[in-house]
Amino acid sequence: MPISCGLCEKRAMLKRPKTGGALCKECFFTVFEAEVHQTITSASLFKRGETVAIAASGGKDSTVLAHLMKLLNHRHDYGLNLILLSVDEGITGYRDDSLETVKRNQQQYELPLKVVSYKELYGWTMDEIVRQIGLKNNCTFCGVFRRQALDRGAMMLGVNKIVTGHNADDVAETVIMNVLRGDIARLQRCTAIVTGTEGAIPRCKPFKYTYEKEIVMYAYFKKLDYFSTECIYSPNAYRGHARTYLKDLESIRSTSIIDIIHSGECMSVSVKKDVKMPTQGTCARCGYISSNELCKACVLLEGLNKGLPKLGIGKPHKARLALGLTNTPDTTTAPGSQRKEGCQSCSCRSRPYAAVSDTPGCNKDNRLSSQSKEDNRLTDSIAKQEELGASYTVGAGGDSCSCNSDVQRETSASTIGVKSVLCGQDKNTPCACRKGKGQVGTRVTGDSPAVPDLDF
Amino acid sequence: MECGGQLDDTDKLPQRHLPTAQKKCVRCGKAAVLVVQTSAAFCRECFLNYFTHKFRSGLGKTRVVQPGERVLLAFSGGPSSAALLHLVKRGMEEGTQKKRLRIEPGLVFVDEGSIVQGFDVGQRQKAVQTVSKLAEDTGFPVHFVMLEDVLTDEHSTETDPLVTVSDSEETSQDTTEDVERQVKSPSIDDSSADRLKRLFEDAKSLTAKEDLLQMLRSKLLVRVARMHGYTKVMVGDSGTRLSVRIMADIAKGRGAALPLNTGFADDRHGDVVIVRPMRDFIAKEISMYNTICQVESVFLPMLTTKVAEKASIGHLTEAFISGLQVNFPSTVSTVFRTGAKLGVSHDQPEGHKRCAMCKAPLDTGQTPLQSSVYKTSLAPAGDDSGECVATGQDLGPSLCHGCSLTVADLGDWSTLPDQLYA
Repeated sequence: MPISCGLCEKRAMLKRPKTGGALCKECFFTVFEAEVHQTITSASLFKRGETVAIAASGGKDSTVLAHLMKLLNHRHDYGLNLILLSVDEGITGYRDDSLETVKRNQQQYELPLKVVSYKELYGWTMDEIVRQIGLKNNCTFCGVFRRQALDRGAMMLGVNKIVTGHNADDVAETVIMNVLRGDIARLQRCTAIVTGTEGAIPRCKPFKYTYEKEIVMYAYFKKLDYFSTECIYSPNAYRGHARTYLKDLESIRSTSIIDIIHSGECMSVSVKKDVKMPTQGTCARCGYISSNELCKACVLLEGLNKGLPKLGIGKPHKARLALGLTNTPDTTTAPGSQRKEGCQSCSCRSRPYAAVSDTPGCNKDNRLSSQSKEDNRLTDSIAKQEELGASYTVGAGGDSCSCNSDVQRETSASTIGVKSVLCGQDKNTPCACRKGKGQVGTRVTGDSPAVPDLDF
Repeated sequence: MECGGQLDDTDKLPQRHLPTAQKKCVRCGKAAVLVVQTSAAFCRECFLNYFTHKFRSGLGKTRVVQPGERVLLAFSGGPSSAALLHLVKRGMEEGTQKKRLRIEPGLVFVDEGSIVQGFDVGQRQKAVQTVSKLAEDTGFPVHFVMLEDVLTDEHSTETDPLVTVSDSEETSQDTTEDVERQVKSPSIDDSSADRLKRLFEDAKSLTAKEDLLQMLRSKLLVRVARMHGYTKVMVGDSGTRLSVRIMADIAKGRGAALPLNTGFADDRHGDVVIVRPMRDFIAKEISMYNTICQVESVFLPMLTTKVAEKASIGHLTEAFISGLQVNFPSTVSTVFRTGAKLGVSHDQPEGHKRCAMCKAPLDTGQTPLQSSVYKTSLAPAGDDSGECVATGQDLGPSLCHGCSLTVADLGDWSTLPDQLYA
């Protein structure tokens, strides 16, 4: 017997993940849109006449967000001026394809589009960065850079606010991650619906209470054009644990996601007064908000340009040491501290004043140290990279031990050889040149269930 | 012999090198016998000193327990509370007069056997006997109660025959009779035991049952303490248990009650304060202490014994945290320290609003946005038909978010016993 919709008499098409209620397609659209509208109005996210940038990646969340913002702006007359804002990280085989989707969305929704790229902002694409840092920790770079890139893009456009497609699952997952990491400051911030009101351009999350599954369903039933592939560089194992836990919780009690957000909201007001919190200041170099002298992006960038890609990864005091503890960018005359950070075993160690460790030998060293901590599924590929790095050292590891970033680029260019070999040998390894291997269009990965939750 | 083949296999396995063989104690340099955390190895004496010192300094620093205070020790029979007993007993005997632990302890054991599936009267009786043996070895006064006692009327408990006190002077013969009387008593006083059983059977989810058990247990402990003039209750929750609790509380929407549920002192019941002195130890340390000091503990089946991993939020969280702990040994301590950074703001603006059930500060008023969205999301405005999860509308304002979820799983709130709101 067909189950009928809980709101009208029509035949139900889906079971709402959030409540378990049966709904028909039209009623689901109504409820979904009404909820987002209510989130927006009750939190007074926007004021009439504001220009709002929609952070668009081409994925399901941002595509639905762009669609809804356009729709609700028109339906409820918010009086907003909407712009699509995309960040091009420079990941071949992933971002170039998803940006195509954004460009199609731009035409479908008739909104202006602005794309800012890592290359133009930082001089590095993610592909180049991954060649330096390897597959571990590369998400640190991407995340830090993207955050700033969005702000910089928004500043160029002169917008009042940025909306992002973070959904309830993302927020809940972040709460869990911050508890597991012991990061009380982020735990306090992560559940706020608007962040960065002081100094920076405010960011809003209109989907804060919207389930990921419902977003996927909405996109599916509305036949929205979105791009669905996981980033080729994101084997983030630890976050995966939190994700699995969250999905298991949801299967036990479907309200869990909202409950976690509620807990996060409560906890953010109950932090003890004597807990030491980082003080927010501005970066001495670029002026961006930062809790240290230099913002994370500047530290990471410095590391990349000096051939010390691990600079911003480990303990912050080490990075400050390596940067000479000062605001002056030119710190190449502090050899002692820098050597501490860099080479342990390569030839440049024997040179007393070698400031920077950008010989391939040093890369090898870095890789070795990262290998020891690597989780098992990556060890193979790292080992292969390491072999390649070693053989490369024999050929060119002679005298490139200088801090000239141009030399560094050359080195990285030479390592392109790595990727072709990788592709040939190990299909499981995410590799830069996997473009076109069935990753185009709206292929649905296991992570974003488009249809499987339909119980009828 | 059916496992002969396996024995052969183990013979061929390479011999495991004990790391302690080469290691020296970090304190005194003698040969170490155990490794507590990743690197620190201890010899026997130094470990005991470290463990005892940590326990005593935890009690001293917080200044919650005053000298000479009457303290009720909650003993479940498990390793953590057994270690707690042992620590208290040693603290009262050893050392100089000045350093001695000056409290007046009593013991309480809560028999939860009536709600465990497939745990018959014979087994229960045996379990209670084992526990009472352990409890009486301490020489402290022992109180035996059953979980269903919490459903009896509070005013009549003064004369309640179920709550028995066995003084240390009494012979073990008397105690055994007491135990027998207790275990048989369900047939005498059916009403409370049956009501308790029904309450648990009616609960739709194991998560709600767990919450209910936790709540009833602490209500009962506080009640026993009140009745016999104790002002503090010490429970044996270890750091491992508490970090699971922190995560589970977050998942159950009880983030506001988290500081009370997992902090050192829980003062929500007013005159009786629940203290968690074992919170600084992880389960591994406790089992090491128990091994070294030959502290006996018993295993009693609980509500979640032998259930699937995803049967309840608490059970899943336990598996999640202990799974992470294997590969990331700092998980428990990190989660625990995150929880320790949270506190209850004592400057409540409007009155003293507390949840009717768990007595934690109400969290529903703090975030009007969240709760409003949560409610409207159940059904669009103007239509409350069918799919609205009961949020205890009539009790609405007086239940916290987490408890309203529990009540929704327990069925109609009006049929719930009054003692839940006591």
